[in-house]
Amino acid sequence: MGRWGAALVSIVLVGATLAPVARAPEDDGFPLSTFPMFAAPRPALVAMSYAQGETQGGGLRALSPAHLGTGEVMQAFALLQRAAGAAPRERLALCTAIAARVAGDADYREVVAIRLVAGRHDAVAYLADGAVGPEVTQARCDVARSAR
Amino acid sequence: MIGAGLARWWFAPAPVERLAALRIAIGGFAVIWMSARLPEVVAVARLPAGELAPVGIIRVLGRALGAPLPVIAVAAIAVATVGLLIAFTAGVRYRVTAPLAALGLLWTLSYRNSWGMVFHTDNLLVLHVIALAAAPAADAWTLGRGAPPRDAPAAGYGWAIKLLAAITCAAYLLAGIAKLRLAGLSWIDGAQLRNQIAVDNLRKALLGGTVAPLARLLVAHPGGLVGLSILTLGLELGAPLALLGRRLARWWAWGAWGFHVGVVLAMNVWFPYPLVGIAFLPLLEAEHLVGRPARWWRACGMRGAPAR
Repeated sequence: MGRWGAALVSIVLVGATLAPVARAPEDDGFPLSTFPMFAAPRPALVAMSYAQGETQGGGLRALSPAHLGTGEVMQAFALLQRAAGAAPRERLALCTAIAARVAGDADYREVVAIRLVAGRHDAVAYLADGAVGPEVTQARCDVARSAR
Repeated sequence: MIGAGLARWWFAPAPVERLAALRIAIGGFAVIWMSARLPEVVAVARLPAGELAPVGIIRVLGRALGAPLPVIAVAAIAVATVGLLIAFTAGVRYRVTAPLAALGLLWTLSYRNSWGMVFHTDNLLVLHVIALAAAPAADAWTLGRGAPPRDAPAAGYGWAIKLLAAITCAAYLLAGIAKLRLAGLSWIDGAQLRNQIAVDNLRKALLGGTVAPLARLLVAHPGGLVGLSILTLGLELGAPLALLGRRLARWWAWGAWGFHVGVVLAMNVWFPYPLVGIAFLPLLEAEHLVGRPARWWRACGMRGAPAR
């Protein structure tokens, strides 16, 4: 490759990598990103939705992202937040899909129901002192297991 | 005058083995990373069609290609990409396999990021593979029967290494700029970082992930977070300085690596590409670091560098 070709490739690729600076920082993309992770100010008070497993005795178990069909916590987060804003029927559909995965998970055999919960927590107090904020159940469904 | 100086700096000669070492390290990482991601790529492809939120090339081409694609098509493209990346790493039929590998990687990881959550772990890897695909990175340390080129290309090899390094630095610079644009200088007041750590770990706790080992300690005792915030922002905005000399590059690379280790300890957020050091390899003398396994590879039939 000649110098002009190399210069052109260099300008195009460096220019493309830097181009997102012309976009709004929240306007993320891939692979040309504004890299906005951890950049926006975040209040400590957080409202978010999550799924919990309910055991026979009324106890609660946190579910893994795999129960939502992904291996990534953040992907699970995105799925749940989108479901929280959807119609009740869609929330129930997500709940049922999670219940089906939990039913097939031997490590969760004591879980008898799934709850989609909207909680409001002070993240600093939650982490530092274990203080749990108010929670509201948005959807609930039973974990159906076939009898053996 | 400035243009001539810039050209002299950009096209400063570098050994062919350095670029080849970068091809092997970056390509090798891409092979392992893509192989490890295959189950996740297939898993997200099974999500309901309504969850698809196309980004990048998927936004441009996805509709024309009928996205969301059948799971089998997604898996087939991903597996083919792994095969192409192996050829890319080995330098086999590079002019054909390298652009196809870059395209496959771009497509597959864009598709993986098109399901409601854009991750930032793969951006640099994809950009580096694209840059390598456009460079004469298979003039040494390759497998295959092709004859090695007798002469170096007119532009040499240094520009391609500079390009890879510039892309690394640009990514970190953008991360710093995003912080200034979104939060301003208040990002370094310590409270911002404490909240970032707290909120990220709260999500993990509630969503079945693992809370980072230092999270509770840092949130409960936020005294040192101002210093860490300043260091982070300084490191990101100062990234271009790493292009100015070998010593600066080495210091910055260590600093950036340490920053990623800190992110793991505080937030359990893993960026494997920089954590294993490969993202920073273009700033270092990669041929020495990659040389040892490469010498072993050569003993297994890999041809050497062209004589010059």
